[in-house]
Amino acid sequence: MELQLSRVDYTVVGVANKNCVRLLTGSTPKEPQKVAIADSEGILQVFSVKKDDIQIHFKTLPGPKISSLKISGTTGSSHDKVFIAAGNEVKGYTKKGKLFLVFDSGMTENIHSMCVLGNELFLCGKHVYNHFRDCKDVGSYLCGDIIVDVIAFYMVKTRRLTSLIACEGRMIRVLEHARVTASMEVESSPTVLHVYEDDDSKTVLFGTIDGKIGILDVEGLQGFRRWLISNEKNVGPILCIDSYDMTGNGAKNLILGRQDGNIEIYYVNVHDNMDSTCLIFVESCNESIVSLQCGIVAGQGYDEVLAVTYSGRVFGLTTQVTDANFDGSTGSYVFSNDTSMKISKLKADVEELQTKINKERERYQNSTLSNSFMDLSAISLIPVNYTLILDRKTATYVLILEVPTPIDNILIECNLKVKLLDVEKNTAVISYSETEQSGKNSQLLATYRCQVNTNCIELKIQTTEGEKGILQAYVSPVLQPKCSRILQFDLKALSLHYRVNEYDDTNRPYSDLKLTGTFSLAEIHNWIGQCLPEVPEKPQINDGQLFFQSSLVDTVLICAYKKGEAEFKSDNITTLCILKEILSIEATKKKTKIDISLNLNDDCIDHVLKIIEPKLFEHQTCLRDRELNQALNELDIAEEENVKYLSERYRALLLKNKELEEHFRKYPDYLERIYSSIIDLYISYNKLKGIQAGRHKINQIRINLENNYSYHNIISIFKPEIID
Amino acid sequence: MEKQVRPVFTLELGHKILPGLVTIGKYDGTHPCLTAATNTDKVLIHSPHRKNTSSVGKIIQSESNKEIAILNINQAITALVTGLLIPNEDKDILIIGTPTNLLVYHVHDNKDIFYKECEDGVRSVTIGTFKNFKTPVVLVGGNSSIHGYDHKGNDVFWVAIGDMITSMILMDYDKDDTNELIVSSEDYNIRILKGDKIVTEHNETEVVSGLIALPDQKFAYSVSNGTVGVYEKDIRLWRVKSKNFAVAMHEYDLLGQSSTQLITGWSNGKVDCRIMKSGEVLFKDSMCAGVAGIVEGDYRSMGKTDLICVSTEGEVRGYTTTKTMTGGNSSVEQNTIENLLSQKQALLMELKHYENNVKYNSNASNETESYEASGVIPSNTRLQVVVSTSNGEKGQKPRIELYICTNNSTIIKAVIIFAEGIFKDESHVIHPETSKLSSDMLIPLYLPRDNPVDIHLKALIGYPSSIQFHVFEVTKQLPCFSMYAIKDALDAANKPKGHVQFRINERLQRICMWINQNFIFPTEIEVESEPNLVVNIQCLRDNTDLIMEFEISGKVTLFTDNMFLAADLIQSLSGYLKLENLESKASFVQEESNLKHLMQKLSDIQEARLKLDTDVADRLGQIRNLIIRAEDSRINDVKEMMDHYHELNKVNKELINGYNIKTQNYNEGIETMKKINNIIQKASRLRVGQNSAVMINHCRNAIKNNNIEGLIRIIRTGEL
Repeated sequence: MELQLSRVDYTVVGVANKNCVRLLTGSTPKEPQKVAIADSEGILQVFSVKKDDIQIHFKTLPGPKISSLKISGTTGSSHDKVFIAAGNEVKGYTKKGKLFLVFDSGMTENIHSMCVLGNELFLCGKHVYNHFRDCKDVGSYLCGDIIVDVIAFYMVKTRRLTSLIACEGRMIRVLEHARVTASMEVESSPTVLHVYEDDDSKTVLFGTIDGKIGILDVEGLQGFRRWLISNEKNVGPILCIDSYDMTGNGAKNLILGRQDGNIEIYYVNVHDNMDSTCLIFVESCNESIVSLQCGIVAGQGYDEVLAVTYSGRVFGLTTQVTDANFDGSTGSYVFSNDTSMKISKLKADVEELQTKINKERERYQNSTLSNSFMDLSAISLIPVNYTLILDRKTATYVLILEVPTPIDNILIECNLKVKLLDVEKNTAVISYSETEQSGKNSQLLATYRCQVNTNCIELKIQTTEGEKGILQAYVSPVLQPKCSRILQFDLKALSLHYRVNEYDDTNRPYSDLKLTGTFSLAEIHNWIGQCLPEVPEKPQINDGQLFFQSSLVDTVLICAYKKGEAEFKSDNITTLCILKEILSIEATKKKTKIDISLNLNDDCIDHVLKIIEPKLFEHQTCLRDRELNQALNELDIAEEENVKYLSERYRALLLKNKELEEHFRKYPDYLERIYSSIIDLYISYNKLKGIQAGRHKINQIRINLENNYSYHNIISIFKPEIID
Repeated sequence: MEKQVRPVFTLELGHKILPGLVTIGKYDGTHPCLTAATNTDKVLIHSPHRKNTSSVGKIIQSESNKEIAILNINQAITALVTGLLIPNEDKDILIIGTPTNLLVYHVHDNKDIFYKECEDGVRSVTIGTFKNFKTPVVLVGGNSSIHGYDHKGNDVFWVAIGDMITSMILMDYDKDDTNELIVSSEDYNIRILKGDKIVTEHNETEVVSGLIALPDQKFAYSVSNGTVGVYEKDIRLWRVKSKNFAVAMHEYDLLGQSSTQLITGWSNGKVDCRIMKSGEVLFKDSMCAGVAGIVEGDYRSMGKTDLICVSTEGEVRGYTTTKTMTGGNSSVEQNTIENLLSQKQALLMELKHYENNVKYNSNASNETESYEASGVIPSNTRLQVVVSTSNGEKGQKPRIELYICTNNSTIIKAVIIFAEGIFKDESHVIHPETSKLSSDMLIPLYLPRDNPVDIHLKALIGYPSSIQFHVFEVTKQLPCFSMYAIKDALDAANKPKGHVQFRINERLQRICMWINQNFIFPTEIEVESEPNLVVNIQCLRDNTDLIMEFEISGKVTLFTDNMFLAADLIQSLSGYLKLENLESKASFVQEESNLKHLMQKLSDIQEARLKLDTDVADRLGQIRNLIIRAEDSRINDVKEMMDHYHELNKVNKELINGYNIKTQNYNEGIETMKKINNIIQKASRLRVGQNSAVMINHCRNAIKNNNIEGLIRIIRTGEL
């Protein structure tokens, strides 16, 4: 780590969202800046920090949830106007707190994201994009996808005003005059956009849900250029980005806030892809960082990162070295004056609140004792921040749950057979409960009892494809009066598939499944949505084609559909078999008559086996290596003398100990999953041919897989006729 | 947040270390040597301070690292302890335990002090003064009993425990200047012995894996399910549970406070330092591999001991008392502020809930949205919980039934019960199907053992369509004998034959109170007009009968065929009535014949073992012979060589077979021994106090003389 920063806590606000904090530009550089912050209770406040103490300049009354906060000013003057978006209104405040603008956008949706650039205002709802100039509507665009973020800037060369919207369906669209000029496909869902400005160039960066940062070529309209930060260790989604010179060497660093609570600072070079990115600072705060900006907040001349967490904690990571308040003579700490003032003030605050709470608690208790039937216990919904993402590398789901107050326990219930995997940094004690075996009951019941002060918890879930189901999480915080919030997650039948924009098409043989009947486009779109994840809410207007890839075996699925007709092409027969079953169930539910025709291509079997093979070998070798490694360790290898007698391969193996353990920690049961995907292939192959797969044959495949795998052996079981 | 302490030294042993088998000893009287068992059945002695390196006798000097010496044991190592044993000598003695043997070894003089075959195996060892012995004794915990040896190897002490002993410590538990023995065993118990007498018993929810003595009559324990806790006398001060388990514990003043802290080493490599009284974590560090052991010794020759942590990969880290924290100067203030802000946040959130509640209520008539969805319930909703026993009608298993219901139309969405030791893990969830949601619920419970259990029930109350539920929390204590139901009078013919009889001078009313506290009966038992109190009870586990007869004269008879149950009842009753001593007469025909049978079996096994041993010796002779002949024929007649080697292969196979039989024989022996010890131990629990200790003493003598009849007489009467 090249950078040393220390954390300073400032204050707490209500539950916070993305884009909720900005720094006002100061009159002179290096002068402490004011902080504008908005929360979901609708309170906007502007404060500055003096001598470790918060001075609030103004604070609005609670109102509807504020979804975005931006700072702007007329060109030339300093950026000191605060704009907030709440509901479908935009309000503007001066730095003194004077309301100078109330603008009703007239949009049908609530404003989700906002961008202010001089007198240009860009507002986005879930699907609508609107461009206003001087509060006059100059254009709008309706997007089939969900819009997650919007930015706007003037192109360097052409000086044209360009805006970008990031859409959940792995697409970033470039708009000029509210018309899409380019659609840029990216590999995984973008979460946030950022313009990295240096000298005289502007580079558009985007963060993704699986924790990567990519560079877009907007000037040349070339689309995705390269990954700036790839995500090797799989840390959580990127929630906010800022660029600022933290090291003081003239080059801007990239500062990221992630959902897993990490704030990371990187040294980057966006222009030269040979100059590799390097991490210079990381701080973990166990709560997702929803917004951050760099600037000067507390100490004059000291750069710092101001960050806000989901629960509304506002803190800074400052370059200022806080004084050592260590008293050498007594061997204990003495608080500096400023800090002890701050602490005693906080203590008084807490005490005051405590007495207030006690009164309220008593009142609440009394109401539960009364016999009046009119009284109700209404506790407002506990906000829970959650994400469920598929980790493609290991083909497992990662579920992140976060509550703005410590969690007591979480109950996980699922009507499918899914497996919960151990997450190392998760300290909660897991306990499985026995489930009733019969009927449609819960197949999984588990509780996580969290250790003290756990606001955020990460779970890993391993699913198998074949059936769809619902995973329910009951989240109970410690907070009184005790409540439990239920969250539901759909697990699709083809849960291990993910959407792709393009796939490697070379030499794939395809089998296809054709569906005809009296269904509408919306219906078939809905049915596909029941089978596969990441299907957009509404059918895409033009193409009507979706591509998917399996994270476990890398096979592809192509869905092409329109009213009354759908065609599914895949190189994996199991995928088609599952699809066929689910689609017929859905159609029967709707009482729609459909015809299904299937065209089996026998080459698919060979092809799938061939693509699984390398994975199979890799994992089998690992397993064997681990066994050997354990055996070698039994030898008294500590003596150098003995090591000399070992062959080169064994000596290398001895050193690989940690790697192997890491591998098995990362891919638990992976080999078993590969085996079952081959067995499933056999079962579905036979099923589609109308034959019940024999138990004996299945055992035979298993034995062959485990003991002496060869392509020939397996294929001969699949296609006995070849041998004859 | 934690303070920071950096290691003052680190080193690599280059060997893999078995968890729990790490100790430190001053074998020359001054210099400490780290001693650990490796995964290749060797004992490693690390002596960084030794000047002259000489390999003599058992110890083999490592070639690569001059500081390390190796002791080959060639048997799995189960215990490793150092301590002063020989009177008037200041050199530590190393004690090594294996599944069958005990080696007491003088490292400095390189001599065996004694080497003993322990039939009961060696599972844990401790060394120190105990009872009225003048010199230190070695106490060896085996599969079901504890043996004590003096420095000459004489057997001086014996006590039956009834299950595998996992850990032992000697400490002054009651401040009488003599040591008491604290023993943990695989039957989840911690027992405190004063001489032969059991003073206190604590029941935990899983196998207790480790114990350490702490100052001020405190001791810490670790459980294999990840719990760590501290007892002060009879009271548990605190316990915490995590998903890893504690391998090693130690007390050391790491943070320069006036008293020592409890240092715990975990299986995932975490080392933490806690306040002894509260369990609050003050410091955390993490090693690259699981912790194998934590010891204390002056490893830098500074005149002050350091804390030494050893990982399973052989990494060693030394820490020392650190007053000045390095790094993060402002961390203390920062922590205070962070904590206060967290508190403030939680309070604000709660306040908001109350405010919203008030707002909602005042505005309730205008609410258009269905209040069911957001989980609004009438404020007078109450949850009732009734505990009862069920004899198991309609083919159900007999069980305890927990009936819960709400007082209005709200439904119970799910129930989570947290309790230790009665479920597979720590919790049990009842999550009914959506179609079967109702406002009441019957939860069957089955307690595997007779222990009081605290159950923490969390019920999620709301409406079927709610997305948020109110959580009602109820804590219930299930008494010790919950799995017993009252039964109508039964005919005399079916009365259990086994019984135990004793006298107590206590009013029947108090006995009724004891019954009502420790059983779940639908109505409270009261003394009726009859002079005697007779209670007919059925055990829900195996449907056996239990009859308790309390006569007005003070005579008590418990009829049951289950001696263990009788023992538990007597212990519970005497505990309730605070009896110092209790003498009883017992007759458990079944157990007696069992015991006879087991004793017979044991002597058969021992005989067979001798025979097997001679067989092995025979075959070894044959093998030697064959090898020589085979190698001879290599020169003279190659064809014959093949024959010899074939023969050798055959003998080898036989040898392996013989070995397998031997292992089986050994295991059977252990198992039988365990059963015998278990019976003796339970029999001793039929008595209380001094009487129990006397009985154990008699048993020891009877077993020594293989006096089966005598043993049975002791069990019956408590005397020889």
